[in-house]
Amino acid sequence: MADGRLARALPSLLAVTAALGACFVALAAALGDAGLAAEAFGQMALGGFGDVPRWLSTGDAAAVLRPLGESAGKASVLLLAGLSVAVAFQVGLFNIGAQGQLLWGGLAAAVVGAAVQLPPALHLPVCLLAAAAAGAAWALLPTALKLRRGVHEVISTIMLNWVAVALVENWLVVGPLQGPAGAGTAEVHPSAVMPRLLGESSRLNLGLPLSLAAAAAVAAWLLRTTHGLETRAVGRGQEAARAAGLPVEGRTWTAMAVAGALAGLAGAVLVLGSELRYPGRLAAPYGFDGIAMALIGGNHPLGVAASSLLFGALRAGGTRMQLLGVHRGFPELIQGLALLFVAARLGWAWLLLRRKETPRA
Amino acid sequence: MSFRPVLFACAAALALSACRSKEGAGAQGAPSPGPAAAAPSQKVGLVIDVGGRGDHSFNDSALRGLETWAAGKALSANRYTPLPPGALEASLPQELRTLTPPIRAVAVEPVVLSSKAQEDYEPNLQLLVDQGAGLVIATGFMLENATETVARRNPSARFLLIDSTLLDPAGNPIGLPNVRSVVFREEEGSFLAGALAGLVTKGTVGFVGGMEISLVKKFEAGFRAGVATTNPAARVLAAYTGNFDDVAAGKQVGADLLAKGADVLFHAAGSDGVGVIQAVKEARAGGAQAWAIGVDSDQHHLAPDAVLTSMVKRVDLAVYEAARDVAAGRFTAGDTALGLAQKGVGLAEVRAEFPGKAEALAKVEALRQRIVSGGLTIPATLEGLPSFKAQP
Amino acid sequence: MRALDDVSLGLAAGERLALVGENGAGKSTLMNVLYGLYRPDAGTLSVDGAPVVFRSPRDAIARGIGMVHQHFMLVPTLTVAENVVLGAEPTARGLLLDVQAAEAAVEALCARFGFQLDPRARLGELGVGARQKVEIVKALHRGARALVLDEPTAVLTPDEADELFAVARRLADAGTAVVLVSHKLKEVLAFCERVAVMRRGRKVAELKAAGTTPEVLAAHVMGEPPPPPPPFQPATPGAPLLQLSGVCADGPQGRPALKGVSLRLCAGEVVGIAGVDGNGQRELAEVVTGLRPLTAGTLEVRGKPLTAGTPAAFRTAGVGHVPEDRHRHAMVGSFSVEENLSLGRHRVPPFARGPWIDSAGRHAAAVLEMERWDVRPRDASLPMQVLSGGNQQKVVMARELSLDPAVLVAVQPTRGLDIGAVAAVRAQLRAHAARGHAVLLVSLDLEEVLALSDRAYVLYGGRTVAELPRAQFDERRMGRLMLGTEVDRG
Repeated sequence: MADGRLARALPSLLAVTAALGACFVALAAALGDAGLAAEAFGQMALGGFGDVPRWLSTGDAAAVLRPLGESAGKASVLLLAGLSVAVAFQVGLFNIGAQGQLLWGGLAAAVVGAAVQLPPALHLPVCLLAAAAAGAAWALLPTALKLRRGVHEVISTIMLNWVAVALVENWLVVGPLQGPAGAGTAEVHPSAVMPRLLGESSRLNLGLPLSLAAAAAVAAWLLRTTHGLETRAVGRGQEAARAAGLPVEGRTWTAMAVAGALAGLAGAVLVLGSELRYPGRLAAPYGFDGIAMALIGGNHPLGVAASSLLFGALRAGGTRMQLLGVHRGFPELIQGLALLFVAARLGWAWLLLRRKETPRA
Repeated sequence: MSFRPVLFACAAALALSACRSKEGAGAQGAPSPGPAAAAPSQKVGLVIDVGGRGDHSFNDSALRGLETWAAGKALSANRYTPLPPGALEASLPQELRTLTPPIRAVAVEPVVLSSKAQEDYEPNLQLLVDQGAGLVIATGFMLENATETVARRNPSARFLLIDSTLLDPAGNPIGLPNVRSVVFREEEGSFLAGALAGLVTKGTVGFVGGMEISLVKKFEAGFRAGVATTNPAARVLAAYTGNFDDVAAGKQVGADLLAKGADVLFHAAGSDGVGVIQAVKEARAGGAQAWAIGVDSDQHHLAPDAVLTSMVKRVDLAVYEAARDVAAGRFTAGDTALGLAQKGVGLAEVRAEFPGKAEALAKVEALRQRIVSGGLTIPATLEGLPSFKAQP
Repeated sequence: MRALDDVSLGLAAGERLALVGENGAGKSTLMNVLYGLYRPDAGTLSVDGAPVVFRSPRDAIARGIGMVHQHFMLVPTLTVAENVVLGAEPTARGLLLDVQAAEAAVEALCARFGFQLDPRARLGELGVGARQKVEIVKALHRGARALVLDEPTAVLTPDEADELFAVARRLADAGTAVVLVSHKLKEVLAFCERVAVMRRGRKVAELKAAGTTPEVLAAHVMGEPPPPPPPFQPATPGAPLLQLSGVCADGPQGRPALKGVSLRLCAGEVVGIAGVDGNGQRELAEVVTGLRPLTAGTLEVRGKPLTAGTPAAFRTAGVGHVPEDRHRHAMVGSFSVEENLSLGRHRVPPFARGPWIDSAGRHAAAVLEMERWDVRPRDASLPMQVLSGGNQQKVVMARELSLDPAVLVAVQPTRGLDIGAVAAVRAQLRAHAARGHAVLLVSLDLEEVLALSDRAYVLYGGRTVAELPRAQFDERRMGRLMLGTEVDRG
């Protein structure tokens, strides 16, 4: 069975590799210089996985630890957002609303982190719980609309993203919840900050182990428990699940709550890990990137983890390509191409089937 | 099967070159024979905010100060090339041509990083430090936290923070020995914009802000004070778009204020302001008599007919001066506030024509001189407005 | 493995040819090659003596080949007329679909070949039988000169089947070649002139229908003489396990579909529900499994009222379900066979240990059940959707019977299954009843109802119009009751 899963993951890996290769060729063509393109990819590697040559020549460990911290920061947010989308997919819903859930989670973490005084051992968990609860609550709105009124979740989650932006960033953060330093909420107490794991030179923090643990927990839940089996059955064959006596609505509620909670945690990792408050804008659309991570990872928690770690490093390292004059959007281009290749995989399969498959009768 | 990667490569190449025609950045190790080639060239790094290159406003102003003025270079096809003779001088606005010492290129080499997300500011600043930049410039108050962190971590590197001082968690200014901060007295420039708007309007003027934060409210306060000074009967409508990078939102809010009767719109909304100016341009095309007042950079070129003037914030000057000081080895830390007296803010040349232009400009100039001489203090907050209006 | 291995077959104009074989013998693959869905690795295809290459069904249709699939290729949201003309639409003023012309064309075809179809009816509201007629009319509308009928009578009453064969014979007499793919050897021999037998991808025999007996043909199909059908063991009915009285329920679009159904099911019995498709069978099956709410009447399972029950409540009360639409209601196609086998009992040992799935226990149980039911291929980790229909049905039956339900509701349990699988499923249903349980057999195949039931009801127009003990089973009379042309006075 493990072999089967690996076989199914292989096309995705190939697609990502192909995308990387295609991007290299593209870059070489655009720069008109393969050497420069190689150098740009080299810079990306240095920025994503650490500047090992510098470390070896100067003994400055920060040259490695710091880039690793940035990669880990992006990877953990991508991973949590990707898990959010993947969990919703497993119950048959397309959660385009991870972005809105992420904003609420970030805000909840910032507010609880700044407004509440608790001992360190308690404060961070309470902040994370608040973020998860906020994200879950925001995800249950479209779920209720779906189950009670039949509103398609794609429509409602997209709309609720804008509602979240309007409420959080255009009102609360610049209005009632604005901190003394302006443009954003008050800074959180040190007890609520994600502990850094590699010292102060690197921003690698508890967010990475937290997100990896979340991936493992989601994998265990979906693949190893009867509750997870029921959740997947609802997603893949709702009528069959209903006929088999499974609580279809109950599993939908739970899965969407978990999806929202994961997106909320992504927001908390951003706020408690690197921003230390809710800034004027939480900026990057990680909620939407989560969709890409889920698709590239085949909606499998461990696949999502793999793609998030890879793209986290590419994103963080991509900044260094700017030193050579490569556009800052390049890592997104790779991600887009990888997605295209993964999607095209289905097309290839279909073509092959048409051409020469000898089917079972 | 083998054709497929090639196809994708072509598509990707197209996408790339399309991107690159708009943006690019410093070419590392590019030959840099500046005019002052005698001294070894120093790298000066610049991190611009998520608004990116090409905002016709704040970021472009900073880039002008570093690339055009300090380095004397232009970015084309991904590389910096020296400006042709006379181009630097031609790029200087009227009021800066008479500065002493004059603005001219110094021995610096620009390295520019755009940011994708809020959390990129800190690693980008650090990356520039790691690249050995003699000065690292952070443009925008959004980089305040990141600048403080990186400056503390790298006490031997030097920083310039534009538009904000360093702040402690309670919001009080703090200083670091390796950070120069520059803020602007936007209220003074905005006051002149408001004074001119009050003289031009038929009765209602509008203000479009970006994020609703105290920095932007400074603009609004100065603008309201100016309108009240020259035209106490005029009504001022104010609206905020909630961000700095949404042209469509700016256009929508601008059109809304025009529909409510405003005929002069002043914006302080970053890229959103481009939309405000578009809205005014379209209203004029529809026969309405309306004006826009730009911000940060001289935005005349965006709509020569519609832009009355611009409240320029000389970010370019602040960036240039810091780069010049570093090149000359006399960089100093500390907090600076630039107002009308320091030519840090001001009105761009009024190139539009309207009835009674000469008298209006004369009145505005008189007000400017009162401020420069200290005879008039402009409120920086909306709370300060009532007491200002109560003055004789 | 090769699905087809060096098969040669000719077909003359006006000929009636049958293609028989077990599931997986290669019949469907062969027909799909003929219809342009698959391309052969080797060999040629000739029409009118000229070699052709079919890249898609479009090419095949252009050459006059028509196909009525086992799984219908129709759009449920369109009307009958729209479905028939889909792909060859008559247009008014160049662009718009000429609905009237389409309806007229369908009416003309129906009149010519004696079908009763309302061109304006929406397809989604029709039953399986009516949909099949739409498929045939559709092929005729496209000018088919060779018509392939894949298992056409599985859903028809004997009279309807006779009607279909009469139509097909008329078509053949008019020069159309007809290929009948079927598991029902009797009808094959009655209708066709020539029979081709497939086994494991090869054509193993070609026989003249005249002079061949079903037994001989079955031996060719299976590769060995078939075991005789087990003698019928009549039941001695025990306590009533399922009772419905005056049950009413709405169908799709909220129209009343059941208008008063009363029936009783006792321990030890197999009770058949005979009827033409679209007379409330589907709704009845959904009502007695909790999938559809009652609008009137009462329902009791083992003496306990379950008038407003959920599917879960019915399961708990001891009702098992082998549904008609296997793909939608009985299995999760992308789940593995063992996951499918566990559904419904996945929370108890050996399938679970506390909240955890017991992978080893589940696998062992699955392997055992696959062995017992002869599910092929014998790999519990394969996705369910790659199994053939017969093997999927075996998995579903295995799961439902393993729950040992007091009442098993089986709808069309042998549709599309081959001879061996049909025999196995039927034997299991009888055996289940013999263990003191009850089986409600809802089937459109009257022969199946007659073969298995101790007692039968005829469902017509949403009502149980007749109740017949086995002694009074009469194929012709029941057919008339099903069509409403005879009213039961007994």
